[in-house]
Amino acid sequence: MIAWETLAQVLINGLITGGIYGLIALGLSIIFGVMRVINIAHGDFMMLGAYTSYWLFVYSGGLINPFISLIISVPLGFIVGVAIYWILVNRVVEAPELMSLLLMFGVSTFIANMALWAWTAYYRGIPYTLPSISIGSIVIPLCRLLAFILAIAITFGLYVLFTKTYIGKAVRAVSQNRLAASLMGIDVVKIFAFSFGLGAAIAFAAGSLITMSVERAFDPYIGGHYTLLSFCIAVLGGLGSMRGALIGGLIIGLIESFTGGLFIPVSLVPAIYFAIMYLVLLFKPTGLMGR
Amino acid sequence: MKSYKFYSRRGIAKIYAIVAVIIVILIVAGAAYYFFMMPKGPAVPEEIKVGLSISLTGKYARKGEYSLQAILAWQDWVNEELGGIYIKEYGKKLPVKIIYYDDKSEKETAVKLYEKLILEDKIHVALCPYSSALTYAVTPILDKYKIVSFSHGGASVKIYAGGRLKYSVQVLSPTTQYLAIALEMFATLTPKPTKVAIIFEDTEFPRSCAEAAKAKAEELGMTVVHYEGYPKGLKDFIPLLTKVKEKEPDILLGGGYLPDAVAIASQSKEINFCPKAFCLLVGVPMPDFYEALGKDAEYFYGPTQWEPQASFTPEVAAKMGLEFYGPTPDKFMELLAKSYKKYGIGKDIKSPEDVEYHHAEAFAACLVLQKALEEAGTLNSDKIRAVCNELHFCTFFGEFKIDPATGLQVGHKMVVIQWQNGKKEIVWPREVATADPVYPMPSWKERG
Repeated sequence: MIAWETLAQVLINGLITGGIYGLIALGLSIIFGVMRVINIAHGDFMMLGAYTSYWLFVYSGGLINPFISLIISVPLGFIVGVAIYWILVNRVVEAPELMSLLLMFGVSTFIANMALWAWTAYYRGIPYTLPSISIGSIVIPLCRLLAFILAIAITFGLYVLFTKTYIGKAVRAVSQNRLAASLMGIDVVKIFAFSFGLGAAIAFAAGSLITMSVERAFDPYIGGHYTLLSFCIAVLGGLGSMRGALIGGLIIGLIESFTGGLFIPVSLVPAIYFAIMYLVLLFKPTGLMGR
Repeated sequence: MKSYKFYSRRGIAKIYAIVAVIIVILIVAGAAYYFFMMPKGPAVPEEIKVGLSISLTGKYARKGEYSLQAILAWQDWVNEELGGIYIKEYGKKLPVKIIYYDDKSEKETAVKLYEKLILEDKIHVALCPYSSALTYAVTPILDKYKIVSFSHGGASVKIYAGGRLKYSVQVLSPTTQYLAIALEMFATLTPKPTKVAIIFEDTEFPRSCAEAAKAKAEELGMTVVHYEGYPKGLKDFIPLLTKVKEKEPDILLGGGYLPDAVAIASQSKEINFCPKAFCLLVGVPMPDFYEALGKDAEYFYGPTQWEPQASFTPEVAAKMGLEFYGPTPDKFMELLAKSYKKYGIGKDIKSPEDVEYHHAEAFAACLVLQKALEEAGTLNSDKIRAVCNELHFCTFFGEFKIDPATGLQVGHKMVVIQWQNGKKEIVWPREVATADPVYPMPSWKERG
C-alpha cells in the first residue's frame, strides 16, 4: 500500500512539471496552428532563452534572476522570431510542409552552432534557488512552483489574447481559413510574422523558466531534446490546439511522475509515454483536443 | 650387371661427395658471412623510440593536448636533465624520442597510426592514446606485435578484462575504483553508514562504476536499499529521487557526468532529500559544478584520479614505505610550464590549480615506462613486461602496482574531494588529505 503522502507528493510533482511542459509545447503548437510550419528550431529558441537568462544573471551580478529576466527574454524572443520570419520563413510559408521543415532544420543547426561558437560547450547553470515549502511530509519546491505559476499565467494570458483582442481573433481567423481572413481585410503576412514572433517569445520564456527547474546545467546542444519533447506533447494534445498543448504537457508530466516515481524503472518512462501517445493517436488521430 | 652396379655405386658416392662439399662450402661461407658481416653483440639503437597517437583534434582534443604537453615535458626532462635512460644491456644511457601523430579522436585513425608506428617507425615501446575507447581499440594491435604499452587515459576495466592483453600496463585507476574508493572512506566515518542508494546513468562507464560500488558496499556490510539506472539525458530526477528518498539511505552514490550531478544536487534540494552524504561521478570535482550550483554544491563528494593539492611527495612515500621515483610535484609543474613555452601545446601553468589530472596521468605513465626500462635493462618486450609485475613504487601521481595476470592497476588510489567553503578539499586517502570530511552533511534547512 502506498502512503497517501507519497501519492500527493507524486501528484504535485507531476502537475508542476506538466505545467511547464505545457508551456514548452505551446509555442510549437501556435506556429503550427497558424501557418502549418513545424518549427524544428523550437528547442534551439528555448536554448537561447536559457542563455539570455544566464547572461543577464551573470552580468547583473545575480540581481536579475531568471524569473525577472522574462521581462527581457520574452520581447527578445519576439524580435528574434519576427526577424527570422521576415528573413527566411516568409519565403517558404506557402510552399509544401517539407520545405519549411528543411528550412527550420537548417535554422536549428545554425543557431546551435553559433551558440557553440560564441559560448563554447561548457555547461552553464544559474546558481539561484529558493527554499522549498513543507506541508507535513510533502515538499513543494518553490522555484518550480513559481515557474509553474508563471507558465500557467503566460498560457492564461495567451488565452485572453486570442479570445478578447483584435489581433488574437485575427490570428485565429487566419488559422481557420487563410483566404477568408484575407478577404475580411486581415493582413495575413503580418499575422504570420506576429504568430511566429509569439511562438518564439513563448519558447524563450520556456527556456528561461526551465533553468529554474530541470535545466540546472545546460549547453548549446539541449535544443534537440526539447524540440522532440514539445512535438510529442503537442501531437498528444492535438497539434495547433492551445488547450491541447497544456493538457498534453500535464499528461506527460503526470505519467513521468507516477510511473517513474512509483511503479516502474525510470529507464522505461520514455517508452511508456510514447506508447500512450501511440494509443491516443490510434483512436483519435488528431490528438486529444485536435479538431 | 656387376660392373653396372659397381659403376652405379661409385656414381652415387660421387654425388654424395659433391653434395657434402657443397654443404661444407655453404656452412663455411655462412659462418664467414656471420663472422665478418654481423655486428658483434646486440645492436645498439641510437635512441629509445616511444610512440603514441594522441587526440589533437576532435572531441578529446583538449585532454589530448594536456596529455601530450606532459609527455613532451617528460622527454625533455629525461634527455636534458638525466642524459637519457640507462639500459644495462648496452651499458649506456640512451636518449628517448617521442614519436606522435594526431588520431583526430577517432578509433580507426588511431589503429592505423599504431600500425604505422610499429611497422614504419619501429618504436620500442608505446604509450596508449587518450580515452578508454581509443585505448580499447589500439591495444590488441600493440599486443599482436608484442610492444609493451602504458595506458594513461584508459580507465575502463574492459580494456584489461580477463587477461585480454599480455603486453599492456594500466597506470591510472580503473573504473571499478571510482565509487568503491569513496565507500572505503565512508566506512571509516561515524556514524557508520549502513544504507546505500545507487542511481546511475545507464551507459558503460557509470554502470561499471555502479556495479563495482554495489559489490563493495555489500563487502563492507552495508545494505544497498536502492539500485537503479536511468536513461542518458534524463532531465527531471524528481520522480526518481522521490522514490529513493522514501528508502531513507545514508549515502547516495552514482550519477554519470556533469549535467546529472548538477541536476541530482539541485533537485535533491528541491524535494528536501538530504542523506548523510552525496558522492557523484565525474562532475563534482569540476569547477563548473560549483559555478552552476553556488553554495548548494557544498559538502558534495566526488572521486577523481588526481588533484594538484593531493600530490604525493617523497615524505608521503616514505610514510607509505615506498620508494619515491621521478620529479617532485613542484618540479613536475615547472617541467609542464617549460614544455608549454617550448612546444605551445596544452596550456600555460602559472599556479598548481592550472594542472589538470590529464597532465599527471600522462607524465606518470612515462615515469612507469622509464622505471620499467631501467629495471629490465633491455628493450626486449617480454622482459619489460615481466619487470612491470615486480614494480611497486610511488610517484607524484601516487602508488603504482599492477595485477600481474591482467596488467590492471591495483596500487593507485583515487582521490576523493569534498567541496568545503567554496574550496575543493582532499578528504581521502588520508595520507594526502587537506581536510576532514564534513559528515553527515548539514540538512538543506540548516544551510539556508
